[in-house]
Amino acid sequence: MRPKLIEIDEAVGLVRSGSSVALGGATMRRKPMALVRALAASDAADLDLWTWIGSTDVDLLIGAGKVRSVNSAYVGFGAFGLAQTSRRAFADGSVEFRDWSESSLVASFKAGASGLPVALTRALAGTSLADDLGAERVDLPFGGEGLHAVPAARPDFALIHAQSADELGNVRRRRPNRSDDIDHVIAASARALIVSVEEIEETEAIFENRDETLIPGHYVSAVVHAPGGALPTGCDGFYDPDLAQLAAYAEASRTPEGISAFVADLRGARA
Amino acid sequence: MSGNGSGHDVNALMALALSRELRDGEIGFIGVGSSGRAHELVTGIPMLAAHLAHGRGIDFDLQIGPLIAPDLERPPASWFDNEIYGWASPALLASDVNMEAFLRGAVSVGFISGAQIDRFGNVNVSKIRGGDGTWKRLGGALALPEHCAFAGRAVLLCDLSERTFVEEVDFVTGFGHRRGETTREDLGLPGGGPALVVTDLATFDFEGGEMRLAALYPGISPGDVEERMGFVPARAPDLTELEPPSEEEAARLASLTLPALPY
Repeated sequence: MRPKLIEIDEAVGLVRSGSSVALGGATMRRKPMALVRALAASDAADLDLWTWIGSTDVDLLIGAGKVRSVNSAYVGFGAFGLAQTSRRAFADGSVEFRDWSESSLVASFKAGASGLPVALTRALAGTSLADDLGAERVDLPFGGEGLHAVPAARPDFALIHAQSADELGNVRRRRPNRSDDIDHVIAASARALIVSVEEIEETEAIFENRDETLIPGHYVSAVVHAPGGALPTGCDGFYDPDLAQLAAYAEASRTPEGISAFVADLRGARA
Repeated sequence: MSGNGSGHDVNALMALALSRELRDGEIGFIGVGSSGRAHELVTGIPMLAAHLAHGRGIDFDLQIGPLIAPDLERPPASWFDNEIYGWASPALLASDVNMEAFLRGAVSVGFISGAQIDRFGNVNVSKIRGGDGTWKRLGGALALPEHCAFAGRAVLLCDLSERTFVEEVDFVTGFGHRRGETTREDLGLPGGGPALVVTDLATFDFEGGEMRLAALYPGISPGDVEERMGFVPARAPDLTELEPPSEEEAARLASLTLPALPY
């Protein structure tokens, strides 16, 4: 197998304008923020984002003007409150928000991972989410009456942040597990997978801890070494969410001027 | 904790009312995505209620996000997620596996709140229509549609307000019992739907799919309740007053220190 380890800008440079991009993690844990920051500073635009539970990842990319639509069950900062930049963009129509429920979005990613064009769900019956998603009620054999068909998520790219990998891209999910996410499903749904990790380790360590392999390198397009790559969100066993950074980001996101200054600083720091 | 003007601790009354509806052998699902008062309502009150039920010998487990049956005798100090997800428990499920439990009917009770709730138990947590016709976004549905569709029954925990208890929700995040002519049966929804509404002044049940004032907290009149609602609910013929916590129940409530909000 060929080495997959490349520099972060080279990895993010694979993402072209108009791509659909899935983001791993959930709320305040293991969001792929180093990759998101690089994407925010890149030339890519008009992105269609998919994430199970969005937070600073979605909000920052919207603040950087990169986003055309968001498919998610939630965008917000959990106990820190609402994601204000996202709210403004959804309210003024500059970004389309497509509301999913948690299980229907899992079903959509799983269908994409299984090579199917549609997913079936009972969760949206009677809801306005079904109307807005254009979900179709279908009657099927084997007791499948009145299910909704929703489109499968088959994003061009998935970006996830993990604890470690070797240079061949074998991704290891180390203990302790303190996360509430569907990274393994999101990763499998994408046409190309970019993974950032806290640590690069020897392939022999992967062999010795094979039960902790989350994704074999065969399914990975690129690995990036990005210590602290989930900050300000947390990474199991490495660091907790950074409360001061989160508070500063939430404050910046509160006003158009605040988020513009935050994005300008980010681009300046990367230039 | 706050009062409702009657001299009683509101959260204690809410937990007490809820605890009487928890049954032996059940599991109740608490989501972790809310903030502020909603967080206190959907996490703190069910935890207190489960603690009270345990004190009466009722075997009621909680599921907190991906955590199955965390040890309620050993709660973490705060909702800081590293502490919550490290809470002593027999399992932390992958979240897609966790969702499947809802879908196959393995969740007995779902605990939810809402930005808008109507008389048929339809719930909105997604977006509110402003006076000028534009939408004001909230966070999003999370698993609220699943609570309403699949749980054996859903319990709504919400402070009374005219803005919350509305004649018609602007957006249906979770389906209650009826919307227009459409019922749960028409839709093939397998769960029980909203069965109980626990507020800061009173509790409601559902009769014929319609919300009905069931019990008043001590010192509260039906007028006090209706004044803070955007529709006039039906009244149960056997409308009762909730007994305040006994000495034993008060001591049991005081013996649990809830995790604090971290931010």
